[in-house]
Amino acid sequence: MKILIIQLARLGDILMTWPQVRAIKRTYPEAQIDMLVRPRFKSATNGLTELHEVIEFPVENIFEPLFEEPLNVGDGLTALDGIIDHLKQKNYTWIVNSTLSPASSYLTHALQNETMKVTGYSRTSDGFLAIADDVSAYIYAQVGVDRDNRIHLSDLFTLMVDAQPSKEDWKTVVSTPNPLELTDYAILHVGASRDEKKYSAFKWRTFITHFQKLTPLPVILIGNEDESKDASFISLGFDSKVVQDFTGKFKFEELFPLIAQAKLYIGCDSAPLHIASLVGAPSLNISLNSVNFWETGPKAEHSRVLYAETEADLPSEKVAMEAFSMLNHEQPSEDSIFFIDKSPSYQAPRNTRNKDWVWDCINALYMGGAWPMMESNTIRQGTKNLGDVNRLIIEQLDTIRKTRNVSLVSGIIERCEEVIESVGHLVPELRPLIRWYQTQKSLIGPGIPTAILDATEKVHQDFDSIIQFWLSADSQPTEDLNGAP
Amino acid sequence: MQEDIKNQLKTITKRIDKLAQENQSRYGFNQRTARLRLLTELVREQAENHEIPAKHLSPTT
Repeated sequence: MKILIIQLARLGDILMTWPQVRAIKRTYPEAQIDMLVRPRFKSATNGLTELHEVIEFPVENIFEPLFEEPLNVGDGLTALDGIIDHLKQKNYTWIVNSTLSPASSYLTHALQNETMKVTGYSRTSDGFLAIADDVSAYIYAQVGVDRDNRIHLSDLFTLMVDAQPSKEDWKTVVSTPNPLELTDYAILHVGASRDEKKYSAFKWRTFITHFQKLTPLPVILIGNEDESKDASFISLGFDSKVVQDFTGKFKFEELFPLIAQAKLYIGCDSAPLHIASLVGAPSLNISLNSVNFWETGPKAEHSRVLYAETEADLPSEKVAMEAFSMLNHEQPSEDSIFFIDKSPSYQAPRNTRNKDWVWDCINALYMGGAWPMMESNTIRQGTKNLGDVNRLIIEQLDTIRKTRNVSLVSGIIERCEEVIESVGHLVPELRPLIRWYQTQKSLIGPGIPTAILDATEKVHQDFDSIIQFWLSADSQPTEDLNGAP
Repeated sequence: MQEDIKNQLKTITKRIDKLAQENQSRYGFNQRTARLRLLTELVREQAENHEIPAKHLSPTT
């Protein structure tokens, strides 16, 4: 079995793909697994010994001609064909597209053939999005910062390849020596993968002020060269026994032993946080509302998350207290979120970041959990409206079947789809259900008209079953609501 | 990311996207359309992810 994993995202995403690679190897020990990455982020595969080959996607060769004037698309396409031909010659039997992006779907489409297994996003023969597996369909419908998914992205990557997540897949043997001579220290990553995910330098500086009053443990600042300015500000005036700035000093692979030996890792959403998960370093993750910690938070045992809408809502003194409490193995504070070896990966106070009720709906929709009671008349009315509109569409499909004339009813169906979309805007709690429906619709591939009609009708009948089951269960509050329709 | 490079990437995205649309309307979703779509999305993602192709990095970036 020859497998290609496409991971064209950044450092953190590549690191979150490590458990997927190990899960494949666990399931198919003889498999030869290659990974396609962008050259800039190749270092994030160092140490992933289960890989047979890491192939660089030649971004530079593809892009350079595009900057010429006049636009030189021809040479860009030639470079693109070059890598596609190179990958085709490898005769992969399974392509796993772990990059959740449109570009990767076109790339997967370019590489796939009829005999090959494909997992993740691809394209149909007429260019529409094609999603072959249920997990990727779930990702498409429910995963993202603005959504309500609570399953960790790395677990979803593992589920994508038909394996069950296991903490064994996170265990990483660190063979390189620690670049520091210190033995007792905490690591603080001063930056984040994006500016909006950052806890500001001012906040980190006041954190250090509080932290040093609680413990003599020195704090080692890490980050890339761009983050050195922030680190200089954070460490300015502090004794080197309190804080030491090593931003821009270590190679990516040196971060593994450095973080592995830390008493505690502290930081926002970033690649080093995922290194901490891989080397089992207890982490205190600062998570602001531009991140969904449920999906990308720490996975090392004893880790915690402090979540706030904005950094103004998260005092640095509180961060220092939580860090100190972790060092002393004390109970998490009342509003802290802590890692558990389950899925979802965290125990959180009610309604942290997104609503428990909405997550219960997702859980019912996909995982056979109990459907929650509708918590308001707005939700109940919105669901009824969805049911009515959906039945109207089913009637139109019946007309198509009888008359063989799509144009007669296509206008009505389009208006109905708009109404369904509008219900999602008016009743946000129903968005996961609507996204499930819309995803199922978008997965109907090209084919003969009757097959498309059958597939379309099935989606609407399924949608109707779900709605009617939920409405009837909701009207009988004393009944057992367990089980999906 | 340098704003001028980011804007350049956006302009390139639009231009390739237009080529893809023209090709698709003439010939359908054939191999060239698929390649142009792939190229469009690669450039779009590069611009949205605030990443500059290596050779366009300024010494100060």
